[in-house]
Amino acid sequence: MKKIEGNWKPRLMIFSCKWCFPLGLEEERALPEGSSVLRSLCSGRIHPSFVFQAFESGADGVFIAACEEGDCHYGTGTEILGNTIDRVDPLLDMIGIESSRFRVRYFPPGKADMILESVQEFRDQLEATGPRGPLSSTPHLTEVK
Amino acid sequence: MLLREALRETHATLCQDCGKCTGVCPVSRYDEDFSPRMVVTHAVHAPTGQTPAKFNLCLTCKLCSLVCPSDVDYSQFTRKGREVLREDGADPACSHGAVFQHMMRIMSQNGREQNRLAWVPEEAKTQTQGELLYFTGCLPYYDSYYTHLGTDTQRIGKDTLRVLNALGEEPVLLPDELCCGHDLYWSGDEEAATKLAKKNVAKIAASGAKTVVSSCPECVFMLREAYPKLAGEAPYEALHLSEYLARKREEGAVELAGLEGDVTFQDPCRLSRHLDETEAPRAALNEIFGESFHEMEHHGKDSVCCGTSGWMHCNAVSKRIQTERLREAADSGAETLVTACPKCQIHLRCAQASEKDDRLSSLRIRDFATVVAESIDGGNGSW
Repeated sequence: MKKIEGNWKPRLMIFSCKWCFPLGLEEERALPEGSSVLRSLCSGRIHPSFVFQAFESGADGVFIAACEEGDCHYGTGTEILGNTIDRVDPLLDMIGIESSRFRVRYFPPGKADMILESVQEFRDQLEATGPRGPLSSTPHLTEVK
Repeated sequence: MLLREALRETHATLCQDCGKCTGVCPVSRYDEDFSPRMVVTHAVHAPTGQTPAKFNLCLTCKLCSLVCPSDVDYSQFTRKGREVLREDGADPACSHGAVFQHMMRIMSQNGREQNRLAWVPEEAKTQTQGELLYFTGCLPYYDSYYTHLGTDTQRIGKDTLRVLNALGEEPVLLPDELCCGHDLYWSGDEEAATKLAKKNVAKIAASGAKTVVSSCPECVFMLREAYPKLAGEAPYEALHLSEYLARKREEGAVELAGLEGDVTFQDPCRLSRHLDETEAPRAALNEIFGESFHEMEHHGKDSVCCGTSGWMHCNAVSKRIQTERLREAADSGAETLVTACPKCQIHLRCAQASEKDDRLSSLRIRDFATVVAESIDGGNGSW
């Protein structure tokens, strides 16, 4: 099921830490079509359930932007996120969501343009991969931007 | 679902206000604000549109139903109440950010290939079509999530396969088996649970299985009690491993060798009260451990739940129930606590992780399948 009738565009959920991703009006406009952002105070707050909820809600891909090791404003956030990734990866594999639909990247603080570039690249890759199976039954994300 | 319907269907309208339920409720013991009797009373008097939020606190362990003179099915009343709350848009207070509920709902959606059998050892004899099916349930997932507790739930799956192979069976394993839906069903999401039920029943039927064995009492509860209602049919017989073993032992298919060490048994609420089975696991444990098998103060139908159910509402009360359960186990003189449900094991281990009393934290917690497998092959066949 690679192609769906009509204009299918990948739906992308982005979780980020607010320190590495300054999200002003300009950045928000530069986000690719069909993406939503949830910024938490720290990437350590991004619980495994966030990722699964995004997929349940119909996301085709989940992107996490976090601070590089040692840059975390609170000290341990990046490490905690590492723990989260270790738990999420095998679970996604087991329930049949390809690892290419979940991407985590680390950025220096305040470099929104780097994040936007990386997100765009992820989105293009998702577009090439195609939709994640038949569309979800609870598509909360369909209405975003 | 309306609250009024829930009251009628579960006989809650017949409540005599006697309070016996509150007297035995493990949650009421530690949380004085919670009382099953008061939840029913409030629901009876609730003006339309107002649902008591306390539904989420119940463990649905069914201890109260044993003492109720009016035969109120309080667990089902709770479940239906949660459905009403869910329809009202209330947060069902699921543990771990509802990660398991999200995974289950993803599974209830269509069209993806799972990779859920990577843990099956090469030595295990299994097949894709046959009379007997082993329904593994969520066992493969828990180890990846509870990395900090040292749980080895995949071990339970491997040991169940060892037992079934030793009984001369080559069980079917479904590569595309879905979650049984137990936790969605009990957290009030009957819609998603029904989707899972229908898909699982179709997969089981396609495998040609007549008997479905599971090492998890929650899966057995769903397969036996809930699926006929949710999916409309259940063309198989569902048994817990202990029940299947008891049947095979009657036929003389296997001898259980003795093992050393003092043990006690934690009756999972789904097995002892919801499925009415307390004898099958005891018969095997008595055979294996003889006089070294001890009973806890509360055992069999009176046993106390492991503190949380359906990945919902884990809190300080849960912790106290779990600690008390560990204390009873230690007081029985046992060094090993045998459970027959992977979730009992996870919950009790979690309580042990923060326990300061050495007597409780040093208790060894093992699954029924592991103990039986060791007894059958003397620990030589451990994959």
